[in-house]
Amino acid sequence: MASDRSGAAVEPAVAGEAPATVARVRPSPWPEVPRPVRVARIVIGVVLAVAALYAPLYFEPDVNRLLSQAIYIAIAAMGLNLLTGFNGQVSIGHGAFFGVGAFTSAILIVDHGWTFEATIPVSAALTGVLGLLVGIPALRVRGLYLALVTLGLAVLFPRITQKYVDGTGGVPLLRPSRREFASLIEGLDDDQWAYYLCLAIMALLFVLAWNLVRGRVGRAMIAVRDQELAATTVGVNLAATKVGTFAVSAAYAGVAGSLSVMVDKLADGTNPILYFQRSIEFLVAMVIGGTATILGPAVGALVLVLLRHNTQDLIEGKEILAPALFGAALIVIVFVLPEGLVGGVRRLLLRLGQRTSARGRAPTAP
Amino acid sequence: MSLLSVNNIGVRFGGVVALDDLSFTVEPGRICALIGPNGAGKTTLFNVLSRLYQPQTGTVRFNGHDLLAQPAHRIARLGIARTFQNVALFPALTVLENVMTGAHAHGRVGFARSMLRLGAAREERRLRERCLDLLVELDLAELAHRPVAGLPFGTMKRIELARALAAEPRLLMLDEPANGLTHSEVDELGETIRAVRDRFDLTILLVEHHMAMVMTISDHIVVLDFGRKIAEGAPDEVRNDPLVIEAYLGAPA
Ligand SMILES: Nc1ncnc2c1ncn2[C@@H]1O[C@H](COP(=O)(O)OP(=O)(O)O)[C@@H](O)[C@H]1O
Ligand SMILES: [Mg+2]
Repeated sequence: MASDRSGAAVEPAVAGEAPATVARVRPSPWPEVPRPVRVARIVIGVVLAVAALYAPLYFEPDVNRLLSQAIYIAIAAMGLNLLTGFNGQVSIGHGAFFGVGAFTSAILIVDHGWTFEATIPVSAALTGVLGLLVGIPALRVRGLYLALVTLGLAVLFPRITQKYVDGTGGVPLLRPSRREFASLIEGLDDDQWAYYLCLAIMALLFVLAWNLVRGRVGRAMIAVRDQELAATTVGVNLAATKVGTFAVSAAYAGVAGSLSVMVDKLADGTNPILYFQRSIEFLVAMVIGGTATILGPAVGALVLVLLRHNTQDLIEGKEILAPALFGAALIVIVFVLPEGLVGGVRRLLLRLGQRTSARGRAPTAP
Repeated sequence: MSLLSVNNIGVRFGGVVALDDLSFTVEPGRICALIGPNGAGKTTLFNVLSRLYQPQTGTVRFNGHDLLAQPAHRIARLGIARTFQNVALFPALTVLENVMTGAHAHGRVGFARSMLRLGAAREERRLRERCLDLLVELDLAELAHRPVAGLPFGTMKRIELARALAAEPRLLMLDEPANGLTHSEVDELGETIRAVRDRFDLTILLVEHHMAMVMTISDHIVVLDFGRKIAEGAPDEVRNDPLVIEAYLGAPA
């Protein structure tokens, strides 16, 4: 520990009298990633990209639908992660933003004859504004209380749809026809088209989130999460940062909701706890993937969907046990990998990197 | 003209009077020390100047601005930076990122431009280079990409100083910078404080219990006791003031 300040020889340079013999090494502006870690990252990235692009050509429509569901859950979880993981504001209300996105798309398609793709930006804008409106009062509460308030949002949402959305026969249920989501590319089936559209939008939103988190605003978000007072004194506007994050986060959930209409051909407000369940799904995907990791929510969403699907008909005749099995699997994951799957892999790569760089340095050590 | 003038500031917490009608001024380019026993109200004054506490009475002028008319997050942009008595770094960020966050007030890029990378990359690159220079100057360069969590306390204090300097302030407020440092580190710190004052053309407001350091580096000393100013002047004047001796030794008059 003392080696970084080894006595009088290491005078601060600001004194302007540092002996010329002390070499001041200027490290690179970016962290140096050891070669094996870099290679591992590239390999993992390429394999994932190829697999993601090839999957819908290989699988049956049923599986493709499952994968598309994983993608829209990933998008919502990514948005939630910006808010909860990076900014420290817990929300159990993202199901409501998801629902608003879904109904926005469904209503525009069914009642106003819009093409589906055009409804996505509208959903994003609308849920973004809604996020802003929720984010402002959310400034007054934090932690568990914020979780409770947002929970209210998710519980309230179905009531609103029941009051204002007229589907068939006064029921808040909209089923746009399959035709609305027909493939726009010759040679791609509808399920494949839906998958690729979801994937492309996820990739875009992933890049936007990445840019956000890695820059000035991302540092401010983390600073606000961990140390509000110090964040304020360096000039971070707490309210603007929190409300802005809420808006972006809600817009992600809204886009996810829009995509769910394409994948499931349905916007459903009949089930009063559906959107609450959605909120929980997003949280679970975030946590098992890795909170405050940028890739975590996507991985978590995939695991969540596959796990749920595979526990569903694991015990024949005892389907009622499926949720328990599913829950048990989640608990195991959280216990074994408290930082989530991506956090775990990152730690592994870090250790790998340290080992190799330590070996590289060994000869010069005294 | 003075850079900072504190006029009749009063802060109460319920029945506790933390600051009582406190007035003093700080001249540009000086090192002004604020001393007094624990609980005298020194940190409270820092928090007033950071706009974290709202005083019940008084005014503060800083560089021509009415400081109390500003929101807390605007203070950094006006040119005031500080460190904290108990170190308040951002543990999840690396050393370099902590220091870069110190320059938040100079940045322009908000949510939209950040997500779309409109002008963000250039701003980011410049900031990164500037903060790296600062780390090199403060002898922290080899830690640049290490997370702050887990570093030794003395190192963290140094990082906090670097973060404050990254804001390019006119007034730097240091709350017990020598607290928790070893003897040799304290001597070095005194040098560093003077050096950064000269190098960055700073005015410094220093809260410190380490009297040897205070007496050597300060130009001016304000002594507080129970929220009230009991003495003020050059180190030599303050050192021999009977009221100061009494406050420190607790001897009856
Ligand atoms: N946020 C607060 N709430 C209540 N009392 C406080 C608060 N901050 C400071 N005080 C009180 O104000 C007095 C001055 O404290 P402080 O400014 O921290 O002293 P110093 O920094 O000189 O040791 C103390 O009696 C302290 O208990
Ligand atoms: Mg104090």
